[in-house]
Amino acid sequence: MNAKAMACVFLGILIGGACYGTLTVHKKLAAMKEEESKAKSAYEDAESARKNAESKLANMRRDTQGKRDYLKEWLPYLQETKSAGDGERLMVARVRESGLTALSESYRSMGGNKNNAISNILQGKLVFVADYAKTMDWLGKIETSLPASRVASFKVSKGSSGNDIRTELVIDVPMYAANADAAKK
Amino acid sequence: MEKNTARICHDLKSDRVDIAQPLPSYLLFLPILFYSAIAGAVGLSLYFFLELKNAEAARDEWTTKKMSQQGLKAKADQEYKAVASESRRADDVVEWVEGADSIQPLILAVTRSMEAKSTITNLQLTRDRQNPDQLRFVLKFQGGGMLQLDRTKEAINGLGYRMYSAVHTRGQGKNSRAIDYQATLIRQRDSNFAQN
Repeated sequence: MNAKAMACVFLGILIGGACYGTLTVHKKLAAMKEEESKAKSAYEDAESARKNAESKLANMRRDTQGKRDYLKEWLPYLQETKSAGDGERLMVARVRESGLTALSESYRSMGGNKNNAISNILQGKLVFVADYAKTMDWLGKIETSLPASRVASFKVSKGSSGNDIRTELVIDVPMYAANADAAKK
Repeated sequence: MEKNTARICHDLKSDRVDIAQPLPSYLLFLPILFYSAIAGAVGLSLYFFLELKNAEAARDEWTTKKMSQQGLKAKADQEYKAVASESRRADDVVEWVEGADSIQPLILAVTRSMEAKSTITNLQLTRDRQNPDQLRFVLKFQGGGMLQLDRTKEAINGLGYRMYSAVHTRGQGKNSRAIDYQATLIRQRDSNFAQN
């Protein structure tokens, strides 16, 4: 191969090198364009997922509005008795205020479903003999002042004298757990 | 003219014998191709490089936007969980409260339904723990007979309670005026908000 041919080959190699360099940069550009396209697609997916989640939330809010408002109305009464101690103090105070003399009075805490908002119940058992009107008045007052309480059992029989009646009352006072993990139900 | 050119060449360059074969004429385009390739490569590379930077910036922008959308979605999911949890607590409370009807009006209605000649000897209301809206009602009274019982049942119905599994028995003995009545009371509800 003579010198002229060598020069031609050399030029050819330089031309090839320039083309190769350009193609390499173009490949990088193509890869970056693909990454951009993937990022855009991922953004569109994320936007769609966000819209779905917000729509689901709006539906949930709308569908449960009534129940949640109901809960808000009851919360002040339920939060009066957050613990068995609170419930017992409240019940004892109500009995004392009434002026009724209890023949027996006992309270015990009953555990329930931990995943339930009413996770515990304070059960009060009261036995007293008193005037019929006074007893009814007291029962009405306790059901009004503790509206979330539930009379589990009420037994009346005739007392020993006059208008007296013997009353055996079992009353359940709910303990509201604001952080009940109801999701585990 | 040709003689003059040859003479000028002789002045610049001494005569020498060609040591290589002349190249084919089409290879005269090779230098042109070379310069074009260099110019094209520089121009295109510069263009591709700028496009690359633009694409990189666009990718980063889409990624940032995606993360922002994911953040908003996570917030919505969290709120959904909080609302769902509140709703389940509300269900529990509705269930409790619906089984916590005041019984004083019921007792008053029963006692007020009694006529002067009738006397309650025993009145008992027990709430079913599994179905707290159901009350087991037991009434024992003396005097008044079935008329009195009907009056009492009417008073109970007047408060919106319905009686199921009712059983009544008369006291034993020829002169017994005692009546023993037992039934399950279920309150009829008009509101259906809890179904929401």
